[in-house]
Amino acid sequence: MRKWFLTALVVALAGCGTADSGRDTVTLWMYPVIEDRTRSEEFWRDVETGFEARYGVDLEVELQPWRSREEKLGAALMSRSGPDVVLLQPDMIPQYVAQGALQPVGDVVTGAERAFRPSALAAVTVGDQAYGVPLYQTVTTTVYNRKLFAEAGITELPRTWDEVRAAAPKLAARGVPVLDYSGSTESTLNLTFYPLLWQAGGTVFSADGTKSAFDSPQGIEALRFLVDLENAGGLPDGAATKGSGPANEPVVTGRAAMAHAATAAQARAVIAGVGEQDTVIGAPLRGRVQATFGMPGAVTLLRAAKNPDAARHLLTYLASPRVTEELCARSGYFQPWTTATSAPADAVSRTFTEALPFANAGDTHPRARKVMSLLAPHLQAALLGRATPEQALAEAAREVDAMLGRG
Amino acid sequence: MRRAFTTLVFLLPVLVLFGVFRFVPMAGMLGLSLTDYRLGGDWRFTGTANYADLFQDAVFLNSLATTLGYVALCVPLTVAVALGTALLLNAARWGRRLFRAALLAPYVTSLVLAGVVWRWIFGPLLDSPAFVLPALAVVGVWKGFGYATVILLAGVQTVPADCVDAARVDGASAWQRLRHIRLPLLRPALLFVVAVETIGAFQVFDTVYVMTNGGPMRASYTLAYAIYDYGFTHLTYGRAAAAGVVLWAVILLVSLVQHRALERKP
Repeated sequence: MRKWFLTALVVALAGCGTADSGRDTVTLWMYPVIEDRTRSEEFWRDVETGFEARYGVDLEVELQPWRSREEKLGAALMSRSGPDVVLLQPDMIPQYVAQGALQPVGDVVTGAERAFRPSALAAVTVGDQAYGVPLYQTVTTTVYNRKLFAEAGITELPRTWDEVRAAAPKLAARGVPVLDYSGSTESTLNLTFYPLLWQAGGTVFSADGTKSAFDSPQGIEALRFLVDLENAGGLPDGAATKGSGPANEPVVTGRAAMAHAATAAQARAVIAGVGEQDTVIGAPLRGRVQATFGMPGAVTLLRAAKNPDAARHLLTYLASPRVTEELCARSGYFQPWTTATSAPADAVSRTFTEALPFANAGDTHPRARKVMSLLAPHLQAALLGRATPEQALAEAAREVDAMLGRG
Repeated sequence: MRRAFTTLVFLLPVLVLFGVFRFVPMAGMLGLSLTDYRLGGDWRFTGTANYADLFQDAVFLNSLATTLGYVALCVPLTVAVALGTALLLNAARWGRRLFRAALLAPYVTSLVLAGVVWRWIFGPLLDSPAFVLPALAVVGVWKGFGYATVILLAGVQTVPADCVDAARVDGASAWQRLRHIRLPLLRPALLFVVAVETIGAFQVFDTVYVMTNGGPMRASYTLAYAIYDYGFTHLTYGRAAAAGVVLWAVILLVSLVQHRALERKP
């Protein structure tokens, strides 16, 4: 009996080993770039089928949520169970390169069928090597609730900082903050403070990347703009600590008059929340200059890829016009090439196209994310009235420079 | 000899589990803290550089102070509330089992879910650097006092009734009976509760993650949250491990001091 049992066990275990098809496998971690889950799953299923038919390599697309993606990816790479290819944002790429986690993919970029936008390429380049293959381009811009402005007697929607400042008290008198703002430390500064910093003409890092540069007259001007709005009742309650989430954002629910760096998804949520007739999508705000946040989404090749050649084939396949065009059409984002082959299908995306020339992808610095986590609490201090903009930025710069100096 | 062998056999599963899931990760953490391990798998031995780096970092020192502040608020409050509740339940003539079960409900509730509800309850209070830590401590007390009450109630019930009655006959007041009879006899249970609550309070993370993200202005940026930040936001795993070792050492030190203080005979 015991002998029979052992034999069965050995056969069963051997069976597990031979269940493999023997083909190479590539794993891709992808995120909800296409928001609609059904359409997303359908698209990536088609990608799997198309890639497998063309290259004879099994492709596993694992659709992950945006939330906690850095934690999940970090943990997976630490435990050697990560994917071969993953979608990264440009400000994550230098950090992952510095961690020795990515392989250069310049050969895929130069071999692509179409030329990429120079700004998209710059955003995925570290040193003189490209580490990402752009699949799409995003951009943010202003979104207004026309009705709230009209009710406050403002018929011309504010396009500049001065106009926003002037509108703040009129709206505040009716209990409406002019600008939606999320100061929580979990919110990326790319969508909150940095666009204002760029509009003031400032930058986060010095040109050589060895020091911070936000503690500058431009940085102070940007933070003072926010503090002035806060003091005038121009920001939502608890703006200093409020998190962001499309479902309950004041601008989406008609409790704030505008957003200064809304994504296309947020604009659609505003339309759903307050109605199409009252939603206006505008150009990026102007301080000293007109600027906003916009970045390419790029697929990267991990150094731990089990089959780098097959993974490179996947990058080439994903960057092919047929796949990228369909991804952009379904996601509402923009094509990453110098010449778009077709205009976005929906009206929101077409309006957002006009903001593309003002898009800034942020600094490609290995410590860009770290700087955000050091700077954000000091921005909170200024918004809470615990520090002046000068004090807040000086203290943040001291911490950031000490961190950069530690190597 | 045979008895020792039998004991070892019975202890073996626990020893193996403890070794694999406690000592091995701890040794790994200690090793990691002496390197500059990177995501790509490369690493160099850096000796105590991560520790030196931590102790020069004002943000880390601030997180240490914040954690100590949280522990100083949360642990005495939890023990006081639990002790009061245990004494009340001990005096109760009916419903003791029902209340005991009800008090355990917060302990078995997911702190992530509860944190969301508490965030609504506290609202703007969490925007105040002065109130955020007490607010988090209240959540910590809410979470922990039920478990502590059950332990202390069991302790209170072991106090011989004749000792308390004799003191009452001798004219001791309720406070004197508590101070001189019950509390000294409760020392083992108190020692356990204080130790468990202190260790838990030092490791506070989930409420901070859900309710404040360490803010505002790092007023609730605890050591456990800093470790998470070092590891997952900054990708400095050696530094995160070093901070973990420091947290472990602080807990060990505080636990030893507590043990000494509470074990001392009156």
